[in-house]
Amino acid sequence: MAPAGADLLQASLQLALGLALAWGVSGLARRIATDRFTPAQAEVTARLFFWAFAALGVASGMAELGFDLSFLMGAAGLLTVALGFASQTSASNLISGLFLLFERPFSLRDVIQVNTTTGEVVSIDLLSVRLRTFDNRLVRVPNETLLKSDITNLSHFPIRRFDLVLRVPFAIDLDDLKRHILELADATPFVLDEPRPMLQFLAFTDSGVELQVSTWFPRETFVEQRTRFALTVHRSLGEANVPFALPSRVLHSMPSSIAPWGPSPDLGKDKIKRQE
Amino acid sequence: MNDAWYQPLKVTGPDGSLQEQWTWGASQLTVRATDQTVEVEGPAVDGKPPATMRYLRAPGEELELTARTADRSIVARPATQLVVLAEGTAIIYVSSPLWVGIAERGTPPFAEFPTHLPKQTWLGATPQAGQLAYASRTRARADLNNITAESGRMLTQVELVNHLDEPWAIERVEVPMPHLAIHLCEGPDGKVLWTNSVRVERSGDTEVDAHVADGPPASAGPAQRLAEPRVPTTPRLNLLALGRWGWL
Repeated sequence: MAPAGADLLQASLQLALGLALAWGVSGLARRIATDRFTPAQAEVTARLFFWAFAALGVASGMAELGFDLSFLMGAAGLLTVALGFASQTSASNLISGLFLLFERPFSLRDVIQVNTTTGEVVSIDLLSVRLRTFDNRLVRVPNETLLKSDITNLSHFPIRRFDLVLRVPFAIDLDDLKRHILELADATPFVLDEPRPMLQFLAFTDSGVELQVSTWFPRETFVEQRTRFALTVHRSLGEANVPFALPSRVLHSMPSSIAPWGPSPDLGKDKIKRQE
Repeated sequence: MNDAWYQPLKVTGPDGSLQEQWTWGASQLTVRATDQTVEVEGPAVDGKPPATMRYLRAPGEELELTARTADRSIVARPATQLVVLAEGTAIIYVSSPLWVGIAERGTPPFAEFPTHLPKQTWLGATPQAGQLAYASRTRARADLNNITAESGRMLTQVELVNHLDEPWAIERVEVPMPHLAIHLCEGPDGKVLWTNSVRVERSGDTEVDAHVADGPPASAGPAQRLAEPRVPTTPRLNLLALGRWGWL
């Protein structure tokens, strides 16, 4: 049966009221959320409120017009299942995006590393995050990937540590070298005085001793200053005649009469040639 | 060196030109001005060569060099282990570099340079939370005679008051330079720049408050206020820099 004019009017009024309510409530939610969350989170919160109240208004208007909402809900359920299968990836990205939005492992303008990609966050959307890499490419990373990956935020803290790995020959006096490096770090104006520069032993390797020089820099100038410091160390060690250890291998030359499957009784007396 | 550098500089000469040079330790500042431009060659900063900057300006305006405090706190370590006894008081002196601003008369500086650039340091209990500051190259001293008044540096008296009934080991002292004014004091050894004194009070394990005095210590001699603080001084500041830290 066709709806009467009065029903149509009342349904229109309920729909309009629902939309107005949705508009008002979403505005209120945006205002409240803006004080507590980031702009992106506030926008998502406002949209959720808008669509929830708008759906109520539409449902109320349709009920007034005599539509059987249970049938509609059933159809909506079927549609949801179909859409769910069709848009599994998108839905996963959407939900991952919501999780990320409220977990906030990074913000706009942060520099992050995801898998092998490092770049500045230029947008955070519901389905993906866009990164601008330092060679000026735009990389879109799906939210699901972000949620499953290790994210390294390189710009979260105001200062960062730079670990410079040095490999020096065994013959070097390590105490002297440590003193030299730490004095150099102290005398270098752009190295932070505290946290204190540090030199750590890492390993004895095939070619020498591996050491790590750790110095701290402000985040904003980290990339520039770590290079300047590495160059400063390189120049200073060169001036102090401290060589870097290069990969080396010891070769023993044997007479051809010796069988290759057995050790030579004269091994060690042979000429030893060091080849770099 | 131009001893009266903190006095206003008038643009002189028939063509309104000026060229002056000042030296503080290893730092050198050169200002060349014409009626319409000011060229400033600043000291070498942060290991980089001196940069020359040129500014356009209104003709006929007077230029002045203004004394300024550092734009961040200065962190000084006592020369020797310093312990303030329970419910005791100690006074230490910190020497810090001066910043020089170049301004048209009555306007904020359009360029400024440190006379001795200190190293940057981190001021915070952990590398995650805190702020950047400058590390004083000279140590905090308990005896004023151990500090030589160098050109381009100023002195701050810090009074440490321990309200607790246990000793207070001082490893670092934060001097909140942006909150301090600069005074030119006529002392027995001549003119010396001083900042307002700071009184630091410890009333709990983690509670350290600083109070900025109205002027330098009376022992500094008659004082003439040279420069206002960068940041309006509040009667009570929270300091971060006292106590023991451990990193890594």
